[in-house]
Amino acid sequence: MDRRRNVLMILIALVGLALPKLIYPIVAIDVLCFALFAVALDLLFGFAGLLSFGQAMFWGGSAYVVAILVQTFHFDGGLALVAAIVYAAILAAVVGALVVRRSGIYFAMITLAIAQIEYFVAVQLKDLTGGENGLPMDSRGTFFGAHLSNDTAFYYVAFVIIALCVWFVMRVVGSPFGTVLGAIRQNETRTIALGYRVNRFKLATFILSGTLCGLAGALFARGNRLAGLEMIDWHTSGAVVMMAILGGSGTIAGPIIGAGIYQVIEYFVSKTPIGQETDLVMGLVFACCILAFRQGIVGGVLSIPWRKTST
Amino acid sequence: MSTVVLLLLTGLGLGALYFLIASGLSLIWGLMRVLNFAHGALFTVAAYVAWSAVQPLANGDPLVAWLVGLVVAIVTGGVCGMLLEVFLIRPLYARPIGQILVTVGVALAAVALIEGAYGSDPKQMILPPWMSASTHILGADLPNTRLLLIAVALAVLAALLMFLRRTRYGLVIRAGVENRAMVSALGINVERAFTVVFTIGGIAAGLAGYLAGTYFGYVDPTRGTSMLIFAFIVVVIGGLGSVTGSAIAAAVVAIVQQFLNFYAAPGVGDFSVVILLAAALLLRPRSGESA
Repeated sequence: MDRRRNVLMILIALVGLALPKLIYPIVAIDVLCFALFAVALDLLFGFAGLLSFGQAMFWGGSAYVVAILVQTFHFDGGLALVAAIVYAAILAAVVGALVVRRSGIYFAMITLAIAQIEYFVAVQLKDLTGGENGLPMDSRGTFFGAHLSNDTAFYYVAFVIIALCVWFVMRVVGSPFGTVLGAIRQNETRTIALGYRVNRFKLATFILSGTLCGLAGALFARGNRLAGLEMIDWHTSGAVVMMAILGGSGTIAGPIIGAGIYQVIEYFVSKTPIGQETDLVMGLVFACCILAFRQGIVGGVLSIPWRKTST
Repeated sequence: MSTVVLLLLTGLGLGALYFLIASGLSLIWGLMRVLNFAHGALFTVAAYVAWSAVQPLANGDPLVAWLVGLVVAIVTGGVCGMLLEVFLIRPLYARPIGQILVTVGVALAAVALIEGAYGSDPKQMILPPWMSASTHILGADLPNTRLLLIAVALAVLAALLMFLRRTRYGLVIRAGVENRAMVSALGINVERAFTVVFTIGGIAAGLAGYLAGTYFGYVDPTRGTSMLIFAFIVVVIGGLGSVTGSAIAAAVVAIVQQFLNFYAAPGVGDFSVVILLAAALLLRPRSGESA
């Protein structure tokens, strides 16, 4: 099983390296950022069992931090990225301290509601965020001095950052810490009885997830030269949950593949006559996927018996 | 004084809409432990189907057209709610998270379908003249639609309470909210009650969709979703599974929202409602959290 997972990850990395040659580089950047977003969400949902419907608050919030710093205050893009990560981490620490006391559906509702607060704030702070129009950036900004106006160059810089993050998440879920998360997901009461301070584990996971979502959103904003209100909207939170589940929640490869498939389908649907309404196709695909595949694409593939294990 | 009366009744009018959405959500949650994200889509779909149905009647008596639309909206909401339960929720009884996620998919698809079919521009409703007029009460000019909404919401509240307290299905639903496993163990078909609850929720959502169109004067594709967020808040504050709780919470939430939006600053009301939710979630005793 483990070997198959490793083969899958290597395949994903190879596809990732070739991606700007396979599809438009700008679409490739979207795939990459959403892949990290979905992995970060799934760290919370698939591994710790906490379904968040508000991860867009980190994704969109950090996007605005980057856009405001680069566009309005002419910061270096690299510094802005660091600031965005810090913003997401602090926000995640504050929100996390509140929400980890609740689990199940309450967790989903309260994260949704708090993300909605950020949305209202972004709408109200028109001067800073551009309100309904979003905040376009004239350029991507420099990356510690280097210019990244070329889409392919930006893709590979983002690829390195995101690959490191995904590798880090793999290490986290494979560590003793990750094992405790699995225990919390399966039986929280028993984990408490075993002497673990469950809320601290949940909080740490929430902060890690939120920070990575923020990093992904900040890269996405720079890639598209835009931070918009729809990035904080609950549609985005819902879409990322879809990606993780479509691909296979609880596997690292699943959310990455789910994000890729989602973005590619969305791209092709946007070229058809019903192009404005990609949600129609995505919603139906998702509903069918929930009804038909329990474990998503990767979960389904991994559960197929490969060959008899001969000892 | 007149401002206060106006704000109070406008708040109650809005609260009536919240209540119509929240009552269905609350019953569905209480009985089935399903958070129905597609509830806003039922609202929108019913409003648009009703809008289409009355267009041929545009030259006739507007009151007749409005009443036809009302009936169409109620039927559409009920039928859609029932279909949703039978075809999408039923196969997933064993998977609570799957049930919620499938309603998210339906919500996104249905709103996109409406937007694709009708465009995202608002559609003007056909209203009888007296609904655009206003009545003079306590020194304030109150648009009649607010009064209509409050009256309808009170009627629905009374009907729901009668249904829950006086009928056999109501008894099954109340017992199911209390302890679902026990009701099944007594040999009662709880699953049929699930369909009934979804149908009632759909009817209330359809009614809310059409009345929201009446209240604002037009229907648009995103109203349902934005109302749904506030309905969630109302359901949580009012207590999941309690119809009376939803009614009280809907009034409180809408009035707080109206007053703060007016006296503090636009947007502060929306903001404070979410804070109210956070407070309710964190301070309430951990009731009903077993699922």
